[in-house]
Amino acid sequence: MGEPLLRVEGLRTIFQTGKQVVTAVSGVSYSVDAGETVGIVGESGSGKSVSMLAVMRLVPSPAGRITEGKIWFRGRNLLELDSAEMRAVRGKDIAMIFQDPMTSLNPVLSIGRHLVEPLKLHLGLTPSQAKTRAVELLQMVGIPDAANRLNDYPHQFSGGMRQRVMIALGLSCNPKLLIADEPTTALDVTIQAQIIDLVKRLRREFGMSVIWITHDLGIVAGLVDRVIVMYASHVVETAGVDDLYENPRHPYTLGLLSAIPRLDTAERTRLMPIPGKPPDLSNPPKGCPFAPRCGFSTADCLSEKPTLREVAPGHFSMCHLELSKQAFINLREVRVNA
Amino acid sequence: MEESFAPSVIIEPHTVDTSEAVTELRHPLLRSLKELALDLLHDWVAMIGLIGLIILLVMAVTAPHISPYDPAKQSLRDRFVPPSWMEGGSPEHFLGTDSLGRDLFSRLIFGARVSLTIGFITLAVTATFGTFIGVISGYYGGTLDEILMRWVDIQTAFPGLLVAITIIAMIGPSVENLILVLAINGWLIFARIARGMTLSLREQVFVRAARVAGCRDRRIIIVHILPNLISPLLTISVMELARFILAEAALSYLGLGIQPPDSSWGLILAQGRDYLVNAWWVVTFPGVVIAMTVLFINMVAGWLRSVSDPHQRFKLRNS
Repeated sequence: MGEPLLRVEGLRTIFQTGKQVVTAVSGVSYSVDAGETVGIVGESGSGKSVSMLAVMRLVPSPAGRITEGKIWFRGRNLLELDSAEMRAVRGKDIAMIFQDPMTSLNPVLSIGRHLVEPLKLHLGLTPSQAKTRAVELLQMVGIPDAANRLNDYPHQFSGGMRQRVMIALGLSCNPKLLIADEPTTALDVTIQAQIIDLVKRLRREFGMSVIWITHDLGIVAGLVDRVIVMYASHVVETAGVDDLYENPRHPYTLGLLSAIPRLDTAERTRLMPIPGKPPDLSNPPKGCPFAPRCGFSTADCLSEKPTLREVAPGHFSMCHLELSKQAFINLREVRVNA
Repeated sequence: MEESFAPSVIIEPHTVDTSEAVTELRHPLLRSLKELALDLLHDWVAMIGLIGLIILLVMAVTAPHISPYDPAKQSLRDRFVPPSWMEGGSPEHFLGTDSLGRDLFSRLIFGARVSLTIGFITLAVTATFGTFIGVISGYYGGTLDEILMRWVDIQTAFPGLLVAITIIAMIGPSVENLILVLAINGWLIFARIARGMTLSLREQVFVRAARVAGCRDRRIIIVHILPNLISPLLTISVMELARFILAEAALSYLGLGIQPPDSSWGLILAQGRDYLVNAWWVVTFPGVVIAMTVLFINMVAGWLRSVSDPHQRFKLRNS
């Protein structure tokens, strides 16, 4: 495979409020191949959503600003496009769906109107072509009686149905990349599963790449090819999904995995929360951002920031230490018994 | 190839007959008019209000054809003829005559023209200008917003009637000038409300979603923000319309509005006040017409507000 579909290089995004400067994304690099599904995992404020808004060039300004980096998408640096070119990319090449389906649709516009707009705007369809296509899209995302529901308004749809509409809207112009920003967080578990299945099916049919932002490692497991773990504005670990679950190399990733409740383990294991809280991003620590909360940290960790390095083929971790799985198990014993 | 639009390739397993939806959508205007009529049938209060307003409008438009007399024709022999059903009343003058023997009914019919014209034109001017300023101010924010809103604040600080009187005293009374002074004072509320609504709408996820879909600012404002403003602004519009009609009456009453021999409801009222004791009808009937117009407008207002909001409308239909 040659050039990846999306390649982010050294992206840095800051928010400035008064004199305070908060670094939301600091020097992040990653890539997404064509047809690949990547999960970006991290807690609130880790920079996962902001890095995606940066890809869309929609970081809220004037407070937010992209100060460094390059975002290559299909051979073009998105940060160098003018606003008209960027508008053509948004919605057409890259689509995005949001967390809260209840507010993502305009309450005074009918569903049909929502769907028809981008088709006319980006693909130049005639109104009747656009309507036909809108019905097809609604059927594709599993909305029954689609033809008759075009005239309905968003409040006549349930949360799960609205998220389906949002997905239909996102896919309307056959995008190359779909960015899903926690699209299932606001939904019931059963609906979550339906939406995930829907995205799985559609990404095959459309042959598109998907970036799935979430704070739930459990959701990611069955859906994505590769996981990017973000912590305090950094990418701390990235690996293929099985590799990551089998051999987490970064203490933070392990912390996340240990904090997932499991029903399938025989003995009653206690959940292990990560102690402490994330660093203040307006005054980031000099060393490793995770060091103050890490069970393995050394003096080096506190004074020197590690770089993201390849610890196994295709597996990158931002940690000074070569940690084995056994080390983690030992730490767990110590913590649980304490 | 991948750039081309080829739905049939992608959606093969889901081919369906969509012709029904397409034919149904063919006349969206006709369909929505039909729905509007159906909704109106459910709301008898609005129905009465609307019928009343239509009668008033028809009266104003067809005034020269339906009025029994020339409204300016004096007949000093027939001064202060009481309404026809009273003692001394004449069947020739349904609502009686005024101090110069002019037929009151004819004068009210012609007065409707002036009062309603001023009301509706002032409304159109203020609603358009105020909403424009408000949406721009709220959407773009920053320095522009500061400047525009301070302008509104400063203007609000002056009492409206005082400003109107001052300006009219300088430029002289006429229908155009009356509309001008009413508009100068009237757009502020539209700007305030439109700005406030836009501020909150701008942060909604659907606006962000629109931007993500590649919409430019102008399109977001027209397609996503304005439709959300219609319902609240319509309510204010109707109340403002009533206020403009009353303000015109007030200014005419003060002698700063419509000048004789033209007549408006306010002016008829003003001219009758000296004879209140011996000819109550000259004051009462224009007062009743003004009050009824305002009442009709308000009756329609509530209904319009629910109908222009899809969610409210849905509840209305299913209640």
